[in-house]
Amino acid sequence: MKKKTTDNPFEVLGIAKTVTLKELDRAYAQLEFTYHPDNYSSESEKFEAEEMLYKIDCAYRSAKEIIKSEPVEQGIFKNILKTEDKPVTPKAEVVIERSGGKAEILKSYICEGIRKKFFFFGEKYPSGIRTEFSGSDDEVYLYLKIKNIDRTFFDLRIEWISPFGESFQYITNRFDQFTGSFIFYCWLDLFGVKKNNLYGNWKVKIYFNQKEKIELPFKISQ
Amino acid sequence: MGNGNIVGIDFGTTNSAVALVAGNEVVIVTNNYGRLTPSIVSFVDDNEQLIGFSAKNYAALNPERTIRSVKRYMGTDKVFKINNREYTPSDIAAIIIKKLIDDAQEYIGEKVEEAIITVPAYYNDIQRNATIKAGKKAGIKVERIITEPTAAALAYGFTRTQGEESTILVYDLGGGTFDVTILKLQEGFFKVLATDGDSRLGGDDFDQKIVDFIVKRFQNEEGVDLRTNTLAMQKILETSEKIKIELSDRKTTEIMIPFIIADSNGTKNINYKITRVQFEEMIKDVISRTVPMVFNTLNAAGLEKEDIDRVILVGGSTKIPFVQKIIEMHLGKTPYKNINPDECVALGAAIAAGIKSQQIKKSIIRDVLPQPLGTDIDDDVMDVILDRNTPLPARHSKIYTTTEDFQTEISIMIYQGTSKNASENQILGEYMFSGIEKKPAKVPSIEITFKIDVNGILNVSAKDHDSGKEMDWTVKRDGFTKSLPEEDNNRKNTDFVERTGISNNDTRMRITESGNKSNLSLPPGSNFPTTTNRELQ
Repeated sequence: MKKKTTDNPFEVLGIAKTVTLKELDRAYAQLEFTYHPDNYSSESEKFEAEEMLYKIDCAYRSAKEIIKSEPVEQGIFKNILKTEDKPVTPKAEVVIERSGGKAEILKSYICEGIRKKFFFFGEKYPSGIRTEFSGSDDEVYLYLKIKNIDRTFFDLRIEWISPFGESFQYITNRFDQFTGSFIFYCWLDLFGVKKNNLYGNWKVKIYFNQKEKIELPFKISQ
Repeated sequence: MGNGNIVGIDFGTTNSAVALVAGNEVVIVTNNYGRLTPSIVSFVDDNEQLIGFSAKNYAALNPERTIRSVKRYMGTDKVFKINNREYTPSDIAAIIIKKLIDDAQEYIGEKVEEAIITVPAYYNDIQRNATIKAGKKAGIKVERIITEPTAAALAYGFTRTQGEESTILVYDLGGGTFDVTILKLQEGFFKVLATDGDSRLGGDDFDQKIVDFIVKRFQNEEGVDLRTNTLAMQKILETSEKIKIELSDRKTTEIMIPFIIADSNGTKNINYKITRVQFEEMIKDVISRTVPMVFNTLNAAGLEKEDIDRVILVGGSTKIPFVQKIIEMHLGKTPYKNINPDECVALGAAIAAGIKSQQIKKSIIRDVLPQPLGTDIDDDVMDVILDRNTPLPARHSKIYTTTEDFQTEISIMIYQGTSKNASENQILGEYMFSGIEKKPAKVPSIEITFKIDVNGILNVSAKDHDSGKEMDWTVKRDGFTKSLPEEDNNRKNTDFVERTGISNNDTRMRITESGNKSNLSLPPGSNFPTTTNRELQ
């Protein structure tokens, strides 16, 4: 069994200090799996693994605290375009990203007339548009994230227009305190949209307080 | 490794099931009556007991000597007095487990020697140990206890072909217990992130609501209180369970109990209409108690509801459309339907058994501690050493000090539970640590370490940093039944039928033991307890 003698939590976990919480969780899970005593048969190996596991648990807790206290831009937001909040003519850059490992910007916009800076993008998977096909039933959804949005925009409505002209407004949203952003999901599988109907020219309309509206076209290609 | 056969047992409040690995398949053991065995024991005489469906059928003729829902009493000191003999909950559970083992042996035509038994995730140490004891009494070796949601996740993971990482939420509402658990599934690794629950909330409460409805209406219309009539209450209880099941398929149904009582004016019948909407109204408050627990669990796992890839329903009560509706409403996600809520726990237990016997590819399960473990400090304050949702195995230490001058020994009380007052929690053990160097109060530095190993055994050790004296104890598997939540003490002396008339509120009551003052304290100047870990110091 490989032994680790360091006390630095990041070294114990074998990760860089700049990792995101997600990457941390992934590395931790891998180590938990490797050093779980059930993986070993002899008593001495089991004992050693257990000791190592305690050390990993402790390092994970410390590392998590450290990462959480870092400014958010450090990790997941390094690829994101940002604009200044200009008091006179407020404008924002909106980016729709899609990537498979490497980020590919589908479209970016400068939007004027919006009271606060904001942008939207995908971080979670790691594009704004995520499709997943697993098991027997297809699960398809789009999501966008609006960051640094003026919290007075309580009435935010998102409408997605598919390449076939269908309008989807079934939205679940949440405010993510960690990233300080609103995330909007559109569960296309609930509307029976299948993988093949996803490709083409889409539009997303964002309504603010029922008055202001911006309309952003984007394209999903195979 | 023994060559004996190993099975997976889902010991439920209402129904139990046993499953095993046969060839490349995981199968539920069927007996003459079907795939599930009602968790009911009916004593005919000293030598004859009916178990399962036959006990259920016989129950109406023998209400005083029929025991149901024994799972609710696991780990309590409740005693069932039948035919001048006393039975503990473990004894009754053992009778049911023995029947399941017999069925499995008949099914495969070979002896079964070991079993993996599932328990609700929220079960505390005493309840888990009572379950292990029941297995032993049934004559089998309990290879390991796994939790019901973990078993359900194993069953779910087993049906998936691709090993992609996913996060699942298991909502387990059985006959008498509720659990919500969030797990992360990776290739060969099942990691529990967080769990919460209530070991006294379930489908029985829904039956009780219908019982209350019938009794109240009968009282209003006929002026007769049926609660005092054992036989009538038994009939009503049985009918209520049937009505509950019927209302899952139908919008309206009729409660029909002919000849419920007979008096000088002749016999009385019950014939009431009940709609699904009425039923939903009755159970709303019970179901809504589960919702905050779902969100607490999400919070503890550091997740939002959108992070959940699948919602899996386990337990017979999740077949109620209203339960599904509430979950969907709050989680914004349609629950996964391709898994049988009645059978997946037993199947999962069998998969765990198959892993053990190397018939199934190895998977590692990392469970969490369901309820905090700690000791009492100052004036009955519960000081947590191992917090809830700590991944197991686990080890953690804290520094404590003395409360009196020249104190040379301390008693370390070990509690499990979420109450801030130590005495309201379940006591697991009490140990005396002596050999502390004579010092003024608040000066000694005593390190107390809790360790739970991979088999779930709790080990407690204490060390005085000045004298170097060290002691350690293993918390006994047989449990420690000095004190119990008072709810159980209250119930102890009421007989079964009377008890079914009590609506089951989840009020945990205080144990009023005066002068319960600890001789243990946190070191001075520490607003926050000093947490140490040996490795990273």
